[in-house]
Amino acid sequence: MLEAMTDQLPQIRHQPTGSGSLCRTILRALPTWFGIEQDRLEQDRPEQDRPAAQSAPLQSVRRRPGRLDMYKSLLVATDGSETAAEAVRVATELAVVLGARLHIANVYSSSNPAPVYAGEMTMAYLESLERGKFATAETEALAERARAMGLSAQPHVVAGNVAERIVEIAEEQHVELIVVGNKGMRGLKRVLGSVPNAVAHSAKCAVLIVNTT
Amino acid sequence: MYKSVLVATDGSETAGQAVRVAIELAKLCGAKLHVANVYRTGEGAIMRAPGLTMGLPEGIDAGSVAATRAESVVAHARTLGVKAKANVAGGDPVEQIVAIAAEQKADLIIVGNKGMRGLKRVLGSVPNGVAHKAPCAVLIVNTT
Repeated sequence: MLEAMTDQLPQIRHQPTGSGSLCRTILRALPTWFGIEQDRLEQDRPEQDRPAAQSAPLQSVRRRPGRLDMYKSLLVATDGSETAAEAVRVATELAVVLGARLHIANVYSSSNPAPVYAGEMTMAYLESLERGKFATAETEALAERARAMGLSAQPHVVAGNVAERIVEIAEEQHVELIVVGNKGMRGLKRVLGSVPNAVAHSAKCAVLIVNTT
Repeated sequence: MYKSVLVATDGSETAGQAVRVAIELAKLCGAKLHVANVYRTGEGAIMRAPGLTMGLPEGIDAGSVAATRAESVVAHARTLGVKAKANVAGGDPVEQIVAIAAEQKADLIIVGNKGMRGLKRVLGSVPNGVAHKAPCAVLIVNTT
């Protein structure tokens, strides 16, 4: 590994720019380029440089607990559709693998743009209440199923703009990875922008777009 | 759960983060890791390093730089016990990443989020293009 890295250096150093800042930038960036942390570099040091206590086989000393030390909190967005069900399935599986906490978010649209007639407005409001009840039951069932698999799961049901609310909940709950289905990511809808697209653009954490179509 | 993971890297810091996540995730899933490094070809080919943009000097071709980078990531992954393979191609990053993913039957592509927010968003960036065209799941790692 180190050989491969140092092989690269002479090439970069011999560039005719002569600017020392280029070399410094590159040297400083190298560990991150290759995703090396300082403790990894430790491993590559010769045996005699390490304290005696660590002279046991590397594997046993340095082995991680077998779980990713990031993505401890996942959020999956669902709207009860089939494509969302696939996202929930993947998120649940991933939460099991990562040992992460799972947040299940169901954002339903609140009443449609205000209709003119008072009667219809009431209908629309009642309808959104119904939708809310339905979404709550559905999401609670999903959370229950996740708990049955030994996960810590929490449902979130809110009304409003789907992408905005998802990102909001993710921030509130300090979520590190949002899982969404790819509905509307390809083909015609692409131009219009879809929920996964908006989430991918505005999320402050990592986003996994599950291929469901 | 994922059997074949592809990570796209261009040697930048943001890509380094994606690589780190990809290696750990591949290890967790027991997946094979494909390291894709796509270099731009043609007149406008430039070398990208953190914080600067410059033309490639005489005698160094973008292909071999890309190959060296990909190989060093592969070597690193192997020392961590992950099966890895380098894939180097020249051309449009999005098209090539998607093509390599299809070719290698990757079921997950991991990219950094460089250019996903702010101004570049409107212009379309590599992660955006990959998210729209990928034949499989896409993980956009938050690096900025």
